[in-house]
Amino acid sequence: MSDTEKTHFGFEQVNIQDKSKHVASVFHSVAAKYDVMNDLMSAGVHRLWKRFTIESSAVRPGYNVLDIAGGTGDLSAKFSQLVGPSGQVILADINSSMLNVGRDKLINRGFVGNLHYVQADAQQLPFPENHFHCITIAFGLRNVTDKDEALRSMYRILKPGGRLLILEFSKPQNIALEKVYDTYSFNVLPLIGKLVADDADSYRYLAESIRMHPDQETLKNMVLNAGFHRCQYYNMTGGIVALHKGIKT
Amino acid sequence: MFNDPALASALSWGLEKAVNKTLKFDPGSRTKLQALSGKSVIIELSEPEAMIKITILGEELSLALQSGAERNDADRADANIKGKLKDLIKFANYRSRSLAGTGIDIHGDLNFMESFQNILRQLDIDWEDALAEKIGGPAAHTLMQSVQATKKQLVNSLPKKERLNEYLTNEIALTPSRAEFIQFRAEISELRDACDRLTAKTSIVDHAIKTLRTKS
Repeated sequence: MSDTEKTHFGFEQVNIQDKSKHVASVFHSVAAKYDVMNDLMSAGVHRLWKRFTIESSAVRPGYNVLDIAGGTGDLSAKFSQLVGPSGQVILADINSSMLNVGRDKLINRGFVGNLHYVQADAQQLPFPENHFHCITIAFGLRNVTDKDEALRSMYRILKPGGRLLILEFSKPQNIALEKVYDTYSFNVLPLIGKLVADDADSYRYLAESIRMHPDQETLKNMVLNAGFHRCQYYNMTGGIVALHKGIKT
Repeated sequence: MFNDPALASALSWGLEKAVNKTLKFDPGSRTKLQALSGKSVIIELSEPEAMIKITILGEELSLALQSGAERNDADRADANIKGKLKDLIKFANYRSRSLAGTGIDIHGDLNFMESFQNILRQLDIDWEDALAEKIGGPAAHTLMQSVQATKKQLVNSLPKKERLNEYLTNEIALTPSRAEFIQFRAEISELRDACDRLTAKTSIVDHAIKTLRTKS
Protein backbone atom coordinates (compact mmCIF):
# COMPACT_ATOMS: atom_id res chain seq x y z
CA MET A 1 0.00 0.00 0.00
CA SER A 2 1.69 3.21 -1.13
CA ASP A 3 1.75 6.40 0.94
CA THR A 4 -0.18 8.27 -1.71
CA GLU A 5 -2.96 5.69 -2.23
CA LYS A 6 -6.29 7.38 -1.75
CA THR A 7 -9.67 6.37 -0.39
CA HIS A 8 -12.92 8.17 0.23
CA PHE A 9 -13.84 10.02 3.41
CA GLY A 10 -17.39 10.93 2.52
CA PHE A 11 -17.12 12.69 -0.83
CA GLU A 12 -13.57 13.77 -0.07
CA GLN A 13 -10.51 11.81 -1.17
CA VAL A 14 -7.90 11.26 1.58
CA ASN A 15 -4.78 9.13 2.01
CA ILE A 16 -5.65 5.62 3.10
CA GLN A 17 -3.57 5.89 6.27
CA ASP A 18 -5.41 9.06 7.25
CA LYS A 19 -8.98 7.81 6.87
CA SER A 20 -9.15 6.17 10.29
CA LYS A 21 -7.90 9.38 11.92
CA HIS A 22 -10.61 11.40 10.17
CA VAL A 23 -13.28 8.88 11.20
CA ALA A 24 -11.94 8.87 14.77
CA SER A 25 -12.23 12.62 14.89
CA VAL A 26 -15.87 12.46 13.80
CA PHE A 27 -16.82 9.93 16.45
CA HIS A 28 -14.91 11.65 19.24
CA SER A 29 -17.00 14.67 18.38
CA VAL A 30 -20.39 12.94 18.23
CA ALA A 31 -19.99 10.40 21.07
CA ALA A 32 -21.64 12.43 23.82
CA LYS A 33 -24.79 13.16 21.81
CA TYR A 34 -24.80 9.97 19.70
CA ASP A 35 -27.97 8.42 21.14
CA VAL A 36 -30.09 11.55 21.06
CA MET A 37 -28.93 12.32 17.52
CA ASN A 38 -29.85 8.79 16.36
CA ASP A 39 -33.35 9.27 17.73
CA LEU A 40 -33.71 12.70 16.15
CA MET A 41 -32.32 11.78 12.75
CA SER A 42 -34.33 8.59 12.33
CA ALA A 43 -37.40 9.60 14.38
CA GLY A 44 -36.69 6.63 16.58
CA VAL A 45 -36.88 4.13 13.71
CA HIS A 46 -33.27 3.04 14.29
CA ARG A 47 -34.60 1.13 17.33
CA LEU A 48 -36.76 -1.01 15.03
CA TRP A 49 -33.86 -1.68 12.68
CA LYS A 50 -31.75 -2.80 15.65
CA ARG A 51 -34.61 -4.83 17.09
CA PHE A 52 -34.87 -6.78 13.82
CA THR A 53 -31.13 -7.36 13.96
CA ILE A 54 -31.45 -8.85 17.43
CA GLU A 55 -34.39 -11.00 16.31
CA SER A 56 -32.31 -12.29 13.38
CA SER A 57 -29.39 -13.23 15.57
CA ALA A 58 -30.93 -16.42 17.07
CA VAL A 59 -28.70 -15.79 20.11
CA ARG A 60 -29.38 -18.15 23.01
CA PRO A 61 -28.15 -18.62 26.59
CA GLY A 62 -24.47 -19.53 26.75
CA TYR A 63 -23.52 -17.95 23.41
CA ASN A 64 -20.44 -15.78 22.75
CA VAL A 65 -21.38 -12.61 20.90
CA LEU A 66 -19.19 -9.87 19.48
CA ASP A 67 -20.73 -6.47 18.84
CA ILE A 68 -18.29 -4.55 16.61
CA ALA A 69 -18.50 -0.77 16.39
CA GLY A 70 -20.95 -1.33 19.23
CA GLY A 71 -20.64 2.29 20.21
CA THR A 72 -23.13 3.19 22.88
CA GLY A 73 -24.24 -0.38 23.43
CA ASP A 74 -27.81 -0.65 22.12
CA LEU A 75 -27.31 -4.14 20.76
CA SER A 76 -24.94 -5.32 23.48
CA ALA A 77 -27.49 -4.58 26.21
CA LYS A 78 -30.04 -6.91 24.65
CA PHE A 79 -27.46 -9.57 23.86
CA SER A 80 -26.35 -9.49 27.49
CA GLN A 81 -29.90 -10.44 28.52
CA LEU A 82 -30.17 -13.15 25.87
CA VAL A 83 -26.88 -14.97 26.52
CA GLY A 84 -27.43 -14.99 30.27
CA PRO A 85 -24.78 -15.59 32.94
CA SER A 86 -23.26 -18.54 31.05
CA GLY A 87 -22.68 -16.49 27.88
CA GLN A 88 -20.43 -13.61 27.00
CA VAL A 89 -20.86 -10.35 25.08
CA ILE A 90 -17.93 -8.27 23.92
CA LEU A 91 -18.58 -4.70 22.90
CA ALA A 92 -15.74 -3.67 20.62
CA ASP A 93 -15.13 -0.25 19.14
CA ILE A 94 -12.06 1.42 17.66
CA ASN A 95 -13.06 4.75 19.16
CA SER A 96 -12.32 5.22 22.86
CA SER A 97 -14.88 8.02 23.31
CA MET A 98 -17.70 5.88 21.97
CA LEU A 99 -16.52 2.91 24.03
CA ASN A 100 -16.44 4.99 27.21
CA VAL A 101 -19.95 6.34 26.62
CA GLY A 102 -21.20 2.82 25.92
CA ARG A 103 -19.53 1.30 28.95
CA ASP A 104 -20.80 4.00 31.31
CA LYS A 105 -24.32 3.72 29.92
CA LEU A 106 -24.47 -0.06 30.24
CA ILE A 107 -22.97 -0.18 33.72
CA ASN A 108 -25.45 2.49 34.86
CA ARG A 109 -28.27 0.32 33.51
CA GLY A 110 -26.98 -2.66 35.48
CA PHE A 111 -25.49 -4.68 32.64
CA VAL A 112 -22.47 -6.22 34.33
CA GLY A 113 -21.02 -9.68 34.64
CA ASN A 114 -21.23 -11.05 31.10
CA LEU A 115 -20.35 -7.83 29.23
CA HIS A 116 -16.76 -6.92 28.36
CA TYR A 117 -15.28 -3.97 26.51
CA VAL A 118 -12.44 -4.03 23.99
CA GLN A 119 -10.96 -1.23 21.92
CA ALA A 120 -10.25 -2.97 18.63
CA ASP A 121 -9.91 -2.38 14.90
CA ALA A 122 -12.48 -4.31 12.84
CA GLN A 123 -9.76 -5.03 10.26
CA GLN A 124 -7.60 -6.85 12.80
CA LEU A 125 -9.84 -8.37 15.41
CA PRO A 126 -7.78 -9.64 18.37
CA PHE A 127 -9.76 -12.79 19.13
CA PRO A 128 -9.10 -16.49 18.63
CA GLU A 129 -10.48 -18.14 15.52
CA ASN A 130 -13.81 -19.99 15.60
CA HIS A 131 -14.76 -18.29 18.84
CA PHE A 132 -18.05 -16.41 18.41
CA HIS A 133 -21.56 -17.73 17.72
CA CYS A 134 -22.65 -14.36 16.42
CA ILE A 135 -20.99 -11.13 15.30
CA THR A 136 -22.87 -7.92 14.68
CA ILE A 137 -21.75 -4.62 13.24
CA ALA A 138 -24.39 -1.91 13.20
CA PHE A 139 -23.76 1.30 11.26
CA GLY A 140 -20.03 0.74 11.52
CA LEU A 141 -18.88 -1.07 8.38
CA ARG A 142 -19.16 2.00 6.15
CA ASN A 143 -16.54 3.73 8.32
CA VAL A 144 -13.99 0.92 7.94
CA THR A 145 -11.13 1.69 5.52
CA ASP A 146 -10.65 -1.83 4.16
CA LYS A 147 -14.04 -3.53 4.33
CA ASP A 148 -12.84 -6.76 2.69
CA GLU A 149 -10.12 -7.15 5.30
CA ALA A 150 -12.64 -6.53 8.06
CA LEU A 151 -15.02 -9.15 6.63
CA ARG A 152 -12.20 -11.70 6.43
CA SER A 153 -11.26 -10.92 10.03
CA MET A 154 -14.85 -11.46 11.14
CA TYR A 155 -15.03 -14.73 9.22
CA ARG A 156 -11.91 -16.02 10.95
CA ILE A 157 -13.20 -15.53 14.49
CA LEU A 158 -16.74 -16.80 13.83
CA LYS A 159 -17.59 -20.38 14.76
CA PRO A 160 -18.66 -22.73 11.97
CA GLY A 161 -22.41 -22.30 11.69
CA GLY A 162 -22.11 -18.87 13.26
CA ARG A 163 -23.71 -15.81 11.74
CA LEU A 164 -22.54 -12.35 10.83
CA LEU A 165 -25.10 -9.56 10.89
CA ILE A 166 -24.28 -6.29 9.14
CA LEU A 167 -26.80 -3.53 9.72
CA GLU A 168 -26.01 -0.55 7.53
CA PHE A 169 -27.41 2.25 5.47
CA SER A 170 -27.94 1.15 1.90
CA LYS A 171 -29.55 2.13 -1.40
CA PRO A 172 -33.26 3.06 -1.42
CA GLN A 173 -35.22 0.82 -3.75
CA ASN A 174 -37.52 3.55 -5.00
CA ILE A 175 -36.46 6.59 -7.03
CA ALA A 176 -38.95 8.95 -5.40
CA LEU A 177 -37.87 7.82 -1.94
CA GLU A 178 -34.23 8.25 -2.96
CA LYS A 179 -34.83 11.89 -3.90
CA VAL A 180 -36.59 12.63 -0.61
CA TYR A 181 -33.84 10.80 1.26
CA ASP A 182 -31.10 12.81 -0.50
CA THR A 183 -32.80 16.10 0.35
CA TYR A 184 -33.19 15.01 3.96
CA SER A 185 -29.62 13.73 4.26
CA PHE A 186 -27.80 16.69 2.73
CA ASN A 187 -30.01 19.53 3.92
CA VAL A 188 -31.75 18.51 7.13
CA LEU A 189 -29.19 16.26 8.83
CA PRO A 190 -26.32 18.77 8.92
CA LEU A 191 -28.78 21.37 10.24
CA ILE A 192 -29.87 19.04 13.07
CA GLY A 193 -26.19 18.33 13.73
CA LYS A 194 -25.48 22.04 13.96
CA LEU A 195 -28.43 22.78 16.26
CA VAL A 196 -28.11 19.81 18.61
CA ALA A 197 -24.44 18.85 18.58
CA ASP A 198 -22.95 22.07 17.20
CA ASP A 199 -21.24 19.96 14.55
CA ALA A 200 -22.68 20.18 11.04
CA ASP A 201 -19.54 18.72 9.40
CA SER A 202 -19.72 15.36 11.17
CA TYR A 203 -23.32 14.89 10.05
CA ARG A 204 -22.46 15.94 6.54
CA TYR A 205 -19.81 13.18 6.60
CA LEU A 206 -22.54 10.80 7.76
CA ALA A 207 -24.67 11.57 4.73
CA GLU A 208 -21.71 11.40 2.33
CA SER A 209 -20.32 8.16 3.78
CA ILE A 210 -23.71 6.49 3.25
CA ARG A 211 -23.60 7.40 -0.47
CA MET A 212 -20.09 5.91 -0.78
CA HIS A 213 -21.04 2.62 0.89
CA PRO A 214 -21.66 -0.44 -1.36
CA ASP A 215 -25.26 -1.19 -2.28
CA GLN A 216 -27.12 -4.32 -1.21
CA GLU A 217 -25.91 -6.70 -3.91
CA THR A 218 -22.32 -5.45 -3.86
CA LEU A 219 -22.07 -5.93 -0.11
CA LYS A 220 -23.62 -9.37 -0.41
CA ASN A 221 -20.90 -10.38 -2.88
CA MET A 222 -18.21 -8.94 -0.62
CA VAL A 223 -19.50 -11.09 2.25
CA LEU A 224 -19.48 -14.19 0.04
CA ASN A 225 -15.97 -13.39 -1.20
CA ALA A 226 -14.77 -13.21 2.41
CA GLY A 227 -15.61 -16.91 2.68
CA PHE A 228 -19.18 -16.96 3.97
CA HIS A 229 -21.25 -19.82 2.63
CA ARG A 230 -24.54 -17.98 2.44
CA CYS A 231 -25.55 -14.36 2.51
CA GLN A 232 -28.99 -12.85 2.29
CA TYR A 233 -30.15 -9.32 2.92
CA TYR A 234 -33.38 -7.71 4.15
CA ASN A 235 -34.33 -4.21 3.11
CA MET A 236 -35.96 -2.01 5.68
CA THR A 237 -37.68 1.34 5.31
CA GLY A 238 -37.64 1.09 1.55
CA GLY A 239 -33.98 0.05 1.39
CA ILE A 240 -32.65 3.03 3.32
CA VAL A 241 -31.23 0.41 5.68
CA ALA A 242 -30.40 -3.21 4.97
CA LEU A 243 -29.46 -6.11 7.18
CA HIS A 244 -27.02 -8.58 5.62
CA LYS A 245 -26.81 -11.99 7.22
CA GLY A 246 -23.84 -14.24 6.41
CA ILE A 247 -23.45 -17.81 7.61
CA LYS A 248 -20.07 -19.51 8.03
CA THR A 249 -19.99 -23.23 7.30
CA MET B 1 -47.12 -11.07 6.34
CA PHE B 2 -44.86 -8.00 6.44
CA ASN B 3 -42.76 -6.78 3.54
CA ASP B 4 -40.72 -4.51 5.75
CA PRO B 5 -39.20 -6.37 8.73
CA ALA B 6 -39.15 -3.10 10.65
CA LEU B 7 -42.97 -3.16 10.66
CA ALA B 8 -42.99 -6.64 12.19
CA SER B 9 -40.51 -5.40 14.77
CA ALA B 10 -42.75 -2.43 15.56
CA LEU B 11 -45.73 -4.73 16.10
CA SER B 12 -43.80 -7.18 18.27
CA TRP B 13 -42.40 -4.28 20.28
CA GLY B 14 -45.88 -2.92 20.93
CA LEU B 15 -47.22 -6.34 21.92
CA GLU B 16 -44.23 -6.98 24.15
CA LYS B 17 -44.66 -3.69 25.99
CA ALA B 18 -48.38 -4.36 26.49
CA VAL B 19 -47.79 -7.90 27.76
CA ASN B 20 -45.03 -6.91 30.17
CA LYS B 21 -46.96 -3.92 31.43
CA THR B 22 -49.88 -6.23 32.21
CA LEU B 23 -47.62 -8.81 33.83
CA LYS B 24 -46.41 -6.14 36.22
CA PHE B 25 -49.74 -6.53 37.99
CA ASP B 26 -49.28 -10.22 38.72
CA PRO B 27 -46.09 -10.47 40.80
CA GLY B 28 -46.71 -14.14 41.48
CA SER B 29 -46.54 -15.07 37.81
CA ARG B 30 -43.48 -12.90 37.32
CA THR B 31 -41.66 -14.82 40.03
CA LYS B 32 -42.60 -18.12 38.40
CA LEU B 33 -41.35 -16.85 35.03
CA GLN B 34 -37.96 -16.08 36.58
CA ALA B 35 -37.47 -19.82 37.10
CA LEU B 36 -37.83 -20.32 33.33
CA SER B 37 -35.56 -17.42 32.35
CA GLY B 38 -33.60 -18.05 29.16
CA LYS B 39 -36.13 -20.53 27.77
CA SER B 40 -37.94 -19.87 24.51
CA VAL B 41 -40.79 -21.24 22.44
CA ILE B 42 -41.60 -20.74 18.75
CA ILE B 43 -45.30 -20.77 17.84
CA GLU B 44 -46.06 -21.45 14.17
CA LEU B 45 -49.64 -20.55 13.34
CA SER B 46 -51.34 -21.78 10.19
CA GLU B 47 -54.66 -19.89 10.32
CA PRO B 48 -53.72 -17.05 10.17
CA GLU B 49 -50.13 -17.66 9.04
CA ALA B 50 -47.63 -16.22 11.46
CA MET B 51 -44.65 -17.20 13.51
CA ILE B 52 -43.87 -15.77 16.90
CA LYS B 53 -40.95 -16.46 19.20
CA ILE B 54 -41.44 -15.94 22.92
CA THR B 55 -38.32 -15.75 25.10
CA ILE B 56 -38.46 -15.50 28.87
CA LEU B 57 -35.94 -12.96 30.12
CA GLY B 58 -35.99 -12.73 33.87
CA GLU B 59 -39.52 -11.77 34.86
CA GLU B 60 -40.51 -10.50 31.44
CA LEU B 61 -41.31 -11.86 28.03
CA SER B 62 -39.51 -10.94 24.83
CA LEU B 63 -41.58 -11.31 21.65
CA ALA B 64 -40.40 -11.54 18.05
CA LEU B 65 -42.70 -11.79 15.04
CA GLN B 66 -40.86 -13.67 12.35
CA SER B 67 -41.50 -12.84 8.73
CA GLY B 68 -41.72 -15.28 5.87
CA ALA B 69 -38.08 -14.60 5.10
CA GLU B 70 -37.04 -15.99 8.44
CA ARG B 71 -39.08 -19.16 8.40
CA ASN B 72 -36.43 -21.35 6.86
CA ASP B 73 -33.87 -20.06 9.29
CA ALA B 74 -32.22 -22.49 11.66
CA ASP B 75 -33.66 -20.61 14.60
CA ARG B 76 -33.90 -22.82 17.62
CA ALA B 77 -36.04 -22.74 20.70
CA ASP B 78 -36.58 -25.01 23.67
CA ALA B 79 -40.00 -25.94 22.32
CA ASN B 80 -41.99 -25.58 19.10
CA ILE B 81 -45.77 -25.43 18.76
CA LYS B 82 -47.63 -25.71 15.46
CA GLY B 83 -51.33 -25.31 14.90
CA LYS B 84 -54.28 -23.08 14.07
CA LEU B 85 -54.87 -20.08 16.29
CA LYS B 86 -58.37 -21.18 17.31
CA ASP B 87 -57.10 -24.65 18.29
CA LEU B 88 -54.32 -23.13 20.36
CA ILE B 89 -56.72 -20.86 22.22
CA LYS B 90 -59.02 -23.82 22.91
CA PHE B 91 -56.13 -25.95 24.16
CA ALA B 92 -54.77 -23.17 26.33
CA ASN B 93 -58.09 -23.02 28.19
CA TYR B 94 -58.66 -26.77 28.27
CA ARG B 95 -57.46 -28.54 31.37
CA SER B 96 -56.61 -31.87 29.76
CA ARG B 97 -52.97 -32.72 29.12
CA SER B 98 -53.75 -34.81 26.03
CA LEU B 99 -52.96 -33.34 22.65
CA ALA B 100 -54.88 -36.06 20.85
CA GLY B 101 -57.43 -34.64 18.43
CA THR B 102 -56.52 -31.01 19.16
CA GLY B 103 -54.76 -30.41 15.83
CA ILE B 104 -51.74 -29.07 17.72
CA ASP B 105 -48.22 -30.38 17.41
CA ILE B 106 -45.74 -29.71 20.22
CA HIS B 107 -42.16 -30.90 20.32
CA GLY B 108 -39.12 -30.04 22.39
CA ASP B 109 -38.88 -29.58 26.13
CA LEU B 110 -42.35 -30.68 27.27
CA ASN B 111 -41.60 -30.03 30.95
CA PHE B 112 -40.87 -26.41 30.11
CA MET B 113 -44.07 -26.16 28.03
CA GLU B 114 -46.16 -27.60 30.85
CA SER B 115 -44.67 -25.14 33.36
CA PHE B 116 -45.21 -22.23 30.98
CA GLN B 117 -48.79 -23.28 30.23
CA ASN B 118 -49.55 -23.51 33.96
CA ILE B 119 -48.21 -20.01 34.51
CA LEU B 120 -50.44 -18.67 31.73
CA ARG B 121 -53.50 -20.50 33.07
CA GLN B 122 -52.91 -19.22 36.58
CA LEU B 123 -52.42 -15.61 35.59
CA ASP B 124 -54.07 -13.40 38.14
CA ILE B 125 -53.78 -9.81 36.94
CA ASP B 126 -54.74 -7.23 39.50
CA TRP B 127 -56.82 -5.12 37.11
CA GLU B 128 -57.88 -2.77 39.89
CA ASP B 129 -54.25 -1.94 40.58
CA ALA B 130 -53.62 -1.44 36.86
CA LEU B 131 -56.57 0.92 36.55
CA ALA B 132 -55.59 2.76 39.72
CA GLU B 133 -52.38 3.87 38.01
CA LYS B 134 -54.46 5.63 35.38
CA ILE B 135 -57.57 6.87 37.19
CA GLY B 136 -56.73 6.75 40.86
CA GLY B 137 -57.45 4.20 43.62
CA PRO B 138 -61.04 5.06 44.69
CA ALA B 139 -62.27 5.41 41.08
CA ALA B 140 -60.63 2.15 40.07
CA HIS B 141 -62.17 0.35 43.04
CA THR B 142 -65.66 1.67 42.24
CA LEU B 143 -65.30 0.78 38.57
CA MET B 144 -64.10 -2.76 39.29
CA GLN B 145 -66.96 -3.31 41.74
CA SER B 146 -69.45 -2.28 39.02
CA VAL B 147 -67.79 -4.57 36.51
CA GLN B 148 -67.90 -7.52 38.93
CA ALA B 149 -71.55 -6.87 39.75
CA THR B 150 -72.52 -6.63 36.08
CA LYS B 151 -70.61 -9.80 35.29
CA LYS B 152 -72.40 -11.66 38.09
CA GLN B 153 -75.79 -10.42 36.87
CA LEU B 154 -75.09 -11.50 33.30
CA VAL B 155 -73.99 -14.97 34.39
CA ASN B 156 -77.12 -15.41 36.52
CA SER B 157 -79.51 -14.15 33.85
CA LEU B 158 -78.21 -16.43 31.12
CA PRO B 159 -80.29 -19.62 30.84
CA LYS B 160 -78.84 -22.93 31.99
CA LYS B 161 -77.79 -25.23 29.17
CA GLU B 162 -80.78 -27.58 29.74
CA ARG B 163 -83.27 -24.77 29.31
CA LEU B 164 -81.39 -23.15 26.42
CA ASN B 165 -83.48 -24.84 23.78
CA GLU B 166 -86.73 -23.72 25.39
CA TYR B 167 -85.31 -20.21 25.82
CA LEU B 168 -84.28 -19.85 22.18
CA THR B 169 -87.60 -21.15 20.85
CA ASN B 170 -90.26 -19.85 23.22
CA GLU B 171 -88.65 -16.85 24.91
CA ILE B 172 -86.88 -15.05 22.09
CA ALA B 173 -88.32 -16.92 19.06
CA LEU B 174 -84.87 -17.21 17.53
CA THR B 175 -85.44 -20.78 16.32
CA PRO B 176 -88.68 -22.56 15.15
CA SER B 177 -90.39 -25.24 17.23
CA ARG B 178 -90.13 -28.90 16.21
CA ALA B 179 -93.71 -28.99 14.89
CA GLU B 180 -93.11 -25.87 12.81
CA PHE B 181 -89.91 -27.33 11.39
CA ILE B 182 -91.62 -30.65 10.43
CA GLN B 183 -94.47 -28.74 8.74
CA PHE B 184 -91.96 -26.60 6.81
CA ARG B 185 -89.99 -29.66 5.71
CA ALA B 186 -93.18 -31.34 4.40
CA GLU B 187 -94.09 -28.23 2.41
CA ILE B 188 -90.61 -28.14 0.84
CA SER B 189 -90.95 -31.81 -0.13
CA GLU B 190 -94.37 -31.13 -1.77
CA LEU B 191 -92.91 -28.20 -3.68
CA ARG B 192 -90.05 -30.38 -4.91
CA ASP B 193 -92.50 -33.01 -6.19
CA ALA B 194 -94.56 -30.34 -7.97
CA CYS B 195 -91.41 -29.05 -9.68
CA ASP B 196 -90.52 -32.57 -10.82
CA ARG B 197 -94.03 -33.06 -12.32
CA LEU B 198 -93.81 -29.72 -14.11
CA THR B 199 -90.38 -30.57 -15.52
CA ALA B 200 -91.72 -33.91 -16.83
CA LYS B 201 -94.78 -32.24 -18.51
CA THR B 202 -92.56 -29.57 -20.07
CA SER B 203 -90.25 -32.15 -21.59
CA ILE B 204 -93.28 -34.03 -23.10
CA VAL B 205 -94.50 -30.81 -24.78
CA ASP B 206 -90.97 -30.04 -25.94
CA HIS B 207 -90.65 -33.49 -27.51
CA ALA B 208 -94.04 -33.09 -29.24
CA ILE B 209 -92.99 -29.74 -30.78
CA LYS B 210 -89.73 -31.23 -32.08
CA THR B 211 -91.61 -34.16 -33.65
CA LEU B 212 -94.05 -31.78 -35.43
CA ARG B 213 -91.17 -29.68 -36.82
CA THR B 214 -89.40 -32.76 -38.10
CA LYS B 215 -92.54 -33.98 -39.94
CA SER B 216 -93.15 -30.59 -41.54
